[in-house]
Amino acid sequence: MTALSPDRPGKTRLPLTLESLKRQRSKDGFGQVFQGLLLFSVAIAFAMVATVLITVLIDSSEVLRGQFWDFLTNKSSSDPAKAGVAQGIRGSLIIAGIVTLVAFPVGIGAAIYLEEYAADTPLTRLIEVTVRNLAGVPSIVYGLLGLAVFVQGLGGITGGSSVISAGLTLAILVLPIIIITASESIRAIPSSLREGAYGLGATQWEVIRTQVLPAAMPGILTGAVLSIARALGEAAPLLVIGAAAFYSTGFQGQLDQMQGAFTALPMNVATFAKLPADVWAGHAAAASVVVLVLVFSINLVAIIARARLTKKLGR
Amino acid sequence: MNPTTLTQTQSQSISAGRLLACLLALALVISACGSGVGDTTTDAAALNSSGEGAFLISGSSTVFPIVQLQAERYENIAPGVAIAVEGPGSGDGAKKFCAGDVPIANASRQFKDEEVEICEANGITFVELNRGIDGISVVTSANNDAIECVSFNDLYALLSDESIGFTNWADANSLTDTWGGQEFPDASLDIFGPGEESGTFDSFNEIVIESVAKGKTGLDVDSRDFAEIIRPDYTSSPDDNVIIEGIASSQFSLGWVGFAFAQEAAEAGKAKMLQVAEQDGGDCVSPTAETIASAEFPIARFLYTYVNIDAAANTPGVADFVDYMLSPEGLSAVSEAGYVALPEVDSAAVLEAWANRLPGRN
Repeated sequence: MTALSPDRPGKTRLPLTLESLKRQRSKDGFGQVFQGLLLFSVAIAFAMVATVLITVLIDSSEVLRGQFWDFLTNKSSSDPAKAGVAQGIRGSLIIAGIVTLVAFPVGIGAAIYLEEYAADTPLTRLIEVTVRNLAGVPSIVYGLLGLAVFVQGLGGITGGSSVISAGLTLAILVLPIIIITASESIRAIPSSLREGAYGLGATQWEVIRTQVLPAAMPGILTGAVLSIARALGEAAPLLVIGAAAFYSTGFQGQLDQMQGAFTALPMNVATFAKLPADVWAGHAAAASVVVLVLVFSINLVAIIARARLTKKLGR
Repeated sequence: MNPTTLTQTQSQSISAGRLLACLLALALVISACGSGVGDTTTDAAALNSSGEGAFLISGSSTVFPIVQLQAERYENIAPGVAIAVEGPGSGDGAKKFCAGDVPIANASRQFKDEEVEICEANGITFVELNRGIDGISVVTSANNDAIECVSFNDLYALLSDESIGFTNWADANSLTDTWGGQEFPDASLDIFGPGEESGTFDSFNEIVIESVAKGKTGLDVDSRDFAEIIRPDYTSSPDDNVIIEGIASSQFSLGWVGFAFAQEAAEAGKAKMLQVAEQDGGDCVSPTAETIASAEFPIARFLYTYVNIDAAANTPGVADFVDYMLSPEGLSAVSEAGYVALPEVDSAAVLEAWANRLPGRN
């Protein structure tokens, strides 16, 4: 606050006290209107989120209280009393696993290359811009890509409309997000850190491994984990890839099951929502609650991971 | 580089890696638990395990509930067979079926000529199985007491391509007046129904609009041209819930959905099923399971399942599952899903067609 006075030399001003500042602010009518508008925006955003949460919780209360455990452990059924989301939970978790296995290494690797190795050429810049644009491509388009490449093209390996195809498609969907957040985190590392390490004789690989990556890790991890949450919530690509509305697994082995029919939590929500609303309304809401809890816990992991890593780095 | 700093930073990067590994392990462990849980319902009563197999059934969303119920119960009889059922629509199912992607496809109408041609071009021969009967209910909101009964001609006047732009029931009087039909009240007309991708759209169009346009309901079709298609300007949705919500939202709404869905909506007080008369001045009939089965209620259609003959012979489990669907226990799913079972004579004919693998449409 004291920095204000030297900004305007030559003017004699009252000593800056809290009171004088407040008085100044009260004269600023436009600022107040603007502040009011901003507050209004916050209120609307909050009201929307609150409405969604409250409606979903109210709608789901009957199902979640009456058959909580059955709902989590049963598979889909035509009987509202027996229907559950176990298959959806399984599908969503496998998808999260595949996204972690595929998109994390590839995305973080690409970001390191772009930030640390790639020369600043027009080609590099073109790639960076393309990656940024890809992050804005609608998810249904990735669904079509997945249908063409993983379901039809690589059907022999993925088994066609399978959880593998879904996982790979969603991995590609979140790849640009991971690359962008990881790049930002790496770019935010002060170059003095690198220069210091180079000065001590470290090779480029040593600098990246021992200095850049550890310092950038909180940001990279946050972005990556949040991208899993994004992948878990997507329904549109799964519709195109062909998640099944109902399936049984038979005596199939784990690999056959991976290559066979699948579903995921957002698909459960969509399927339940299409059934006659009077008997089934609570199920779609209850499945939504399960998705929300899953996504919130993943976000929580991201926050804790970030806090722990940041604390260790002493920043 | 100072050795102590090096170890410190190393430990940081290791712990980050460890965290990542933990996350991954957690995801895999939980997913494995999930799969175990999903299997528990299969061990109920292994009556006679018919071996193993895995296949997908696609097609009509109308027939989906029947087949889902059958596939669910079939697990108790043949727990080794993995069956997936989806219901994207009759047309989508036919496309997959004729491309050889699925061994069984359901349809809420017969396969069209062009679909049969694609099947033939791809060398796919099939058996057509009649599964049951579904009535199409004409619905309005539960608070609409101005309308009780509509004839096919009335529906034509309200819903055909000639009625484009009619936003008031009374607008349709300009058409009904030409043949001396029902006089509609002055009330805003809000229309909700399934879209063109739906078999329910096709069936309604064929049974009501086309038969009026072809003169089957006594109109003088030689004197002028009649439209053979439903008007495009209405609120369409593939989701029956959306249609019912629309119907309930406006007092003088009009729409059409499958009988099973309309009945649930009527019981919930969201919609009223109108009586329908095939001819002007004919008997007004309410849709019920009985009137649909006896064909008294005029807007009814057969539901179909198509089975790929080669796939039935070569894909393990397919033929056995079809046998089950046509067994007495399997057939009970038809009425439980809200549809009307075939009369016994017809059921016997279907069994015979299946047993002889009678190719082609009937």
